Amino acid sequence: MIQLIEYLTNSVLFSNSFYLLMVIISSALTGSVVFFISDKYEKTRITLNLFGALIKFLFLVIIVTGLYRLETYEIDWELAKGLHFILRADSLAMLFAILSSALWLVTTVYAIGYFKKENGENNQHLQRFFGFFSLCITSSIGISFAGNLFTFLIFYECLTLSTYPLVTHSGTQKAIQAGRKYLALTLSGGLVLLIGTIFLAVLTGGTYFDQGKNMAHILSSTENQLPFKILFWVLICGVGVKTALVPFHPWLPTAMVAPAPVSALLHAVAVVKAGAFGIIRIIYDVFGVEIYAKTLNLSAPLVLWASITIIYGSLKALQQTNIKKRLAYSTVSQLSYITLGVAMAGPITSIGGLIHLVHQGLMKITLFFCAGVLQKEAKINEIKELNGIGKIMPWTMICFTIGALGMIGIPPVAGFVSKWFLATGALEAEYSYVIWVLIGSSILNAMYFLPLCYRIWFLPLKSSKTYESNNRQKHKILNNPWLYSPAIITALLSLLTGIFASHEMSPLSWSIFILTEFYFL
Amino acid sequence: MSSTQFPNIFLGLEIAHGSIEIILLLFTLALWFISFISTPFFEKNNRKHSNELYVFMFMSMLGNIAVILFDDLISFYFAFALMNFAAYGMIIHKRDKAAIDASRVYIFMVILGESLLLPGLWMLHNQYETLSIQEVRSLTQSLSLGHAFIFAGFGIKLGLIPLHIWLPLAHPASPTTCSAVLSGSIIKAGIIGLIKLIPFAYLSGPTISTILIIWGVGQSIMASLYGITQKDPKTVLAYSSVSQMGLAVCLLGIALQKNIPETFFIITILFFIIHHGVTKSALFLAVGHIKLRFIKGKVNQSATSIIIIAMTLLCVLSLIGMPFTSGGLAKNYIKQLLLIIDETNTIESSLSWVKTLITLTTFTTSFLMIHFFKLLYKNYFQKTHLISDKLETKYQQSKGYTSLLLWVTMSIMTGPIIYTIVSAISKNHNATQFLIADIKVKQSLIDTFIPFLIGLIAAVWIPRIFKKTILYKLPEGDLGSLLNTLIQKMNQTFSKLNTEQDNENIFSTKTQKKQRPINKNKEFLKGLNESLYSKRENFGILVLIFISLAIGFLAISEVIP
Repeated sequence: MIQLIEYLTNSVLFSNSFYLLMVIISSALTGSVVFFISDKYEKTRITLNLFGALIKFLFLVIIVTGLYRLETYEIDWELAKGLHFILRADSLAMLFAILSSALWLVTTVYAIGYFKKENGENNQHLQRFFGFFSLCITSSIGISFAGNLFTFLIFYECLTLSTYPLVTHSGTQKAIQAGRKYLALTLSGGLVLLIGTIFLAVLTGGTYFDQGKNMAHILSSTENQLPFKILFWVLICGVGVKTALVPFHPWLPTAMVAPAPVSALLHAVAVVKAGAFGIIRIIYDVFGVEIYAKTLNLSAPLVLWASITIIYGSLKALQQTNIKKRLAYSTVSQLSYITLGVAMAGPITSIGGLIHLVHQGLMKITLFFCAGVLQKEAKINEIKELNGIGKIMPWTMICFTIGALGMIGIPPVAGFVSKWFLATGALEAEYSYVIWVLIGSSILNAMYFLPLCYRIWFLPLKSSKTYESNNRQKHKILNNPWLYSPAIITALLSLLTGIFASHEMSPLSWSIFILTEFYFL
Repeated sequence: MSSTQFPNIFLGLEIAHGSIEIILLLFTLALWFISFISTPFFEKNNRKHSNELYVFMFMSMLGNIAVILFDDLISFYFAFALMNFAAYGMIIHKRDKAAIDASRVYIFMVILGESLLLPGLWMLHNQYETLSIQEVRSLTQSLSLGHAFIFAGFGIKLGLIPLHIWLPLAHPASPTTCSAVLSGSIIKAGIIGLIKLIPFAYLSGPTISTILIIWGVGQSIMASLYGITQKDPKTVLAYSSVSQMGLAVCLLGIALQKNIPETFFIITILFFIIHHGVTKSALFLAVGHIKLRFIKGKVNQSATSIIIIAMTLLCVLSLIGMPFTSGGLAKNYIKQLLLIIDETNTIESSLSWVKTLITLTTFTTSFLMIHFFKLLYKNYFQKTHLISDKLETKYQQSKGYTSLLLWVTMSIMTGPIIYTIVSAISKNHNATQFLIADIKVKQSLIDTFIPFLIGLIAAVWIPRIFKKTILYKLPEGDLGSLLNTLIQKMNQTFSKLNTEQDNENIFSTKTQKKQRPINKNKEFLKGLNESLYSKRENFGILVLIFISLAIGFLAISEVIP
């Protein structure tokens, strides 16, 4: 008996692979339990959700400290011959995992506030909502820890499927239509990725993230580079759907019918970042920088594609009159900053791309939180209704302004740091037109965010009846701390990551740590 | 150069506190300090958004201080952006049509400026591979594309001529004290940024230098001539600012002519900046006072108002550059700089033509400033009568008056103060010699008086000739109104949101409130009887003053040991 316990403690429990598994299981388990807790036991459900989120974050912190001690975390199961299911915690994985789990924790708090009973609205199916919400984040973490393209693909599809019920949560005709569009686009993206994965396995005999060592070996023996080029574009198109590269973006704005917590976490962080993360993995780990930039010369077209998406997304955002839609198109534009940074394949641009993964997440989630607060508490959906709202909900609107300024790229908010690295890196990598894309995007960002700030702070409040009639009730609801405190936390974080950009715990330092692996090894 | 580094903040914050920074810091803090003191006095009739105004002023002040102190590219850019964006709140403060139009043009120009400055900074960072401004300066061997972008970016701030549009719109639209600091210290941030990033004295580029000199003098003359057609004294002052900044650009051009000792150049330009900042702010405050004080049909010709008139006249003369004023001293330094360049020059590239051009600007400036004084005389001084002594004594107690006094004495004292500070800190024998070196009073008297007299005659006669022509109906902010409609059209076509509607909304609510015709005299009496500030405002101001004083003392304590 004692031997068994000792065996368990030594080999399975508290071993490195145990921590890795626990990070994934913690949310999967709570998620599946939540499915069976009805609204009667709301408090139990809340506790369980928060418990799962906290536990996950705790285990991630343990793994990070382990990585600082240079320990390895890896699970390798052979499902069939040559078909490996690999989970591995490398530094790049941790960047995405920590970002999504930390923001998941915050968003869980926000979602609890958003679906509070006193609001007396369409609050059915909450157990379904929180269940799928947990499964979503499980697949996000799975994506970040995936050790080969096959594992990546599995979790990528899981993410698509578990997000669908969240998008269609309200059950209205519009939501179901949006869900259909979402499913059609992302599933076909997944299919293309599947084809690409098989293609890769056929060409190189495996789907490992080996920084293109195997591929370099094969490429050196053949003259024919065309299959590899085709492979690259097939893979990029597969993940490009979730990254919302330009012709594949329409699902993102339509999916804005989802409740605010979903838009905040999934459409600012988890789903779209899964796509961007996929592009990073494909360029760095499947192909390797050397093959990508020098042997196959794939850099220039991808940079162009990302630039077009940046400008197109901003122009579209300018035309929106709905707040959430404007934010959605802004996401389309900002996501391509990540693609742009990685695609230019210089060390500094890559730092810019990687930190924007974190910075954009923090700033955009703040904006979506605030949009949700506006929607829920002041019944504001359209931009023209924003007039003078800063007087009524000052804290939320300060957070919104911080997020907006960050998006434009005004220091000290975090967005500035990533823009600085992207631009100076672009000059170094001799893509000088990219700085004009960045400047153009900044100007367009200013054009679609500053009028909002102007309305919020400088225009007088419209004397609409809704404020006067239920003023007392409003006063009570406007002080719902579950709703506005997450926005304050993320706004503070995006300020702090900007101000203390070169601190050793900052995303910037971590990105530099990651990239030494790919560039200076 | 002494500097302190904070490696964890941004990408390594660097704060410089050499003698130049301290001089600029003292001057800037003094301007903001007086501005904070006198704001409640000027804004007592318009308390609607006064708390917001203080927040924006404070943020802008922090940015302004940081522009002077921060010495690495990223944090410098942060400071510049903070100052610019916070100033938006100062310009829009009144919320009337002029203020909204001005702020729209302003924010457009700010964003344009940032997006010209930023590529410049990126290029410099890429070229010299360092973030420290000190290192960028010392590594600069010749001018490059990045410098051109930086020049354009700061050009918007300092009102370089095609980019000056926001300036004549923003100054009259913003509250008195805000236009004082806008003109006094915020537009100077453009010059400070330029001399921080580009080592003008070490570089030599005769072609660019000639272009800059002609550009600067041209700007000075054109702005003055346009300013003459204006009717609001504050707009005239704004054009005078554009004109004086033209002289500063000309000075930068002169420094580019040859490789000259840097101390001479720095002293000249610092003195010019500080002289103009203090004098111009004093004039803006004076206009504010006169507007409050000389209300049609009432008020007085007693001793205090004569003092105010006299001081305004003094500031006007100083701006023209009369001997024995700070302006005269500033012009002397420019001429001395020219002499130093000429002494070592070969014959063919003599700079005597620059001297002639500067004399020409003295003529246009005096034309403009006399026009300004004439406007004040016609609109305010001429149409006033005596009022009772009781009111007068109450008025004298008001703190706004003392603040004006403080400011004007400062503006007269600038010369000696700066002189002592510079000579004490620099300890450079050459520099002190440069400062004292023969100021030829007789020569400069002749140099200024003749253009001044011509300007006087012109200011009296020319308006009579052109009075009824279109020249006197030119809009303020020349192209500003055009740009304003352009921005609005752009907004509407792109974003499908009609901002015009919202604006009309504001105006309609405002006009509804103003239905009753206001009895100005009653209002005036009421304003005087009212206690000057509410307790809350008083407290806020005290806190702000304490903070700014604390920063100042910290800065000084850094230097003394």
